[in-house]
Amino acid sequence: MPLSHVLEITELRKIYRPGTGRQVVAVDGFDLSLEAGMVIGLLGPNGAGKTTIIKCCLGLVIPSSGTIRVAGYDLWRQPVQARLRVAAVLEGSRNVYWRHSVIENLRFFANLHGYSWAAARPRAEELLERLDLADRRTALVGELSRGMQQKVAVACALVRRCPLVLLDEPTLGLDVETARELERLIIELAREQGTTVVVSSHQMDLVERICRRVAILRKGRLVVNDSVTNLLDIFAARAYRFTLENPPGIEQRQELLSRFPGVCFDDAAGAFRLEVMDAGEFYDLMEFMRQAGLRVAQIDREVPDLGEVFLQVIRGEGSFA
Amino acid sequence: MLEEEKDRSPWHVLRGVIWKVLVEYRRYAFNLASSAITFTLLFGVILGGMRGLAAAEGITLGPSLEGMVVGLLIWTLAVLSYQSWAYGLVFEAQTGTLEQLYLSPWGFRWVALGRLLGDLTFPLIFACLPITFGVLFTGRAFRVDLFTLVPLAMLTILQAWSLGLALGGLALLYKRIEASFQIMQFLIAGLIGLAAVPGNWLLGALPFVLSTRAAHQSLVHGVPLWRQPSAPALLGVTALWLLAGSWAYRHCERTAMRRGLLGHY
Ligand SMILES: Nc1ncnc2c1ncn2[C@@H]1O[C@H](COP(=O)(O)OP(=O)(O)O)[C@@H](O)[C@H]1O
Ligand SMILES: [Mg+2]
Repeated sequence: MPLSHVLEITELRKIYRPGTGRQVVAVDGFDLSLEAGMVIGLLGPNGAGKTTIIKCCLGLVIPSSGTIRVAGYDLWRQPVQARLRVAAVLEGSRNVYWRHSVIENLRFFANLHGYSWAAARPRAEELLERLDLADRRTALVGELSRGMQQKVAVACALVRRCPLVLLDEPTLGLDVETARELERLIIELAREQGTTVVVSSHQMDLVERICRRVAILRKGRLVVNDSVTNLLDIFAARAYRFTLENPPGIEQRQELLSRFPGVCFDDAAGAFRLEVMDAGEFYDLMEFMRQAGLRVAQIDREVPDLGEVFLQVIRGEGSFA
Repeated sequence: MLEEEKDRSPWHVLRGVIWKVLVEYRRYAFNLASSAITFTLLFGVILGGMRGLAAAEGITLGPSLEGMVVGLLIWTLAVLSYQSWAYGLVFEAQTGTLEQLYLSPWGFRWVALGRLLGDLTFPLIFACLPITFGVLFTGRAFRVDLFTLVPLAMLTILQAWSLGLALGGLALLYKRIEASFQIMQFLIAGLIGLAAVPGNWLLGALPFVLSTRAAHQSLVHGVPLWRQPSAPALLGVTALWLLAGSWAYRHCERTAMRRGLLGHY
């Protein structure tokens, strides 16, 4: 069995038929391969199909077509082998038992994945320490704060020591502080264990903080699959902002607009913004300004955050759409 | 990785699920005790009322009182068994733990089996109540033959499971089915009542009818199960219903997975 890819999704399609002839295309030909030890963000607006993809990878939703392999094992043909290797925290649900204590939940979910409590216990204790839950171990989960409940859910996913962990919107609805704490723990634990983690989110800042790679999803299709730094670079390189000492006249404006389609003016700031497609265009513009006697006071390279990139990709702007 | 894997097994799933059910029982012992008291009062009112009525009218109610005790016994076993499964499933689907259970590597069947086995304790304990009260109120000793009653109780519970499986499965697909869980109690009472209708073998194919007749034979007439001519039929009917129930559940489960309904969408 090839172990190079922890998760391999090929041409996944899911069409829901919620009755009376209606059909919803939730995932529309999705491919993704993940190597071991990677933390990848699955980014997309609400309804893009993130949850559906995750549930398909867990065998909770039967796809319309396509194959899914976990550590080389086909999810539906070799279900035991595949499912031994994947755990998850699902979106917007309890995931764990509120009427049971923290430690009881850990024990139960370790058992559920086939571990004896003796075998799982050291790992459970470690997770309790790391997640700052050790002194609440006998508390019923239903009596804990929302943030702690989510930490218990994450702990119950991690206690199963699976090489692949899927987290669907893990920090949704948490206060900022708890969310950050949880994020930090997710990356730390993933790094130490070499776990492959897929984090879905519609919040780009979360993905920017914890993921090295990002897959952006729009209407059930993969539109971007790249490293976060690459993605930021691509978009950053394209935008410059020129602030001028003397604003261009009407004719100069028209010429600028006709020769450089990526220009827009920001008169209030006495500046204009240019998106260049290649370095040549940048130098052409500099030459034009020199000849036109436009003196540049300042050039800024605009550094976008993933949020802007995400919005552009989702709106279908730029070359990714 | 491989080293670890050989220690992982579905037995730990089974044990884990049963353990969790028992933890729940222990934690909610108070609730259990209070429903036991409610049950007790219910039996007391029904049987005591019947006896009082009979005494006032100067008629002997012996046989029908005995029938009542037997009926209550089967009814208790059946209702408690199907309810704990069906309500439990709906609750887990709504709160989102059901999807986690479905992640178990060896499939949901081990989880389901553990759940059903763990849930046995409750109906079995409660089923002792009607017999005890039967003895107290009818003033006559029932023939309590454990070698008959325990297997009989198990067969009855198995029939109830098939009902619970089918209903639970339907509830995954059609949320409103839940309302019918209550109505089932009356339906079961009706089925048990049918046991008194003599003859017709077709009636015996319905769940709980043969169980009730067999319980009557044993408790009232002292005939052990293995000497009752209808025992093989009882076994066969139970097996058939169980198969039908499991098939219905599997079918609903697949449909729910296709429609993405295991969660609380
Ligand atoms: N069980 C379902 N039945 C019908 N439609 C569904 C179901 N689950 C999701 N959908 C639809 O499929 C699309 C993708 O949903 P989802 O996977 O939940 O997206 P995301 O997690 O990215 O918000 C949406 O249009 C949603 O309404
Ligand atoms: Mg979602």
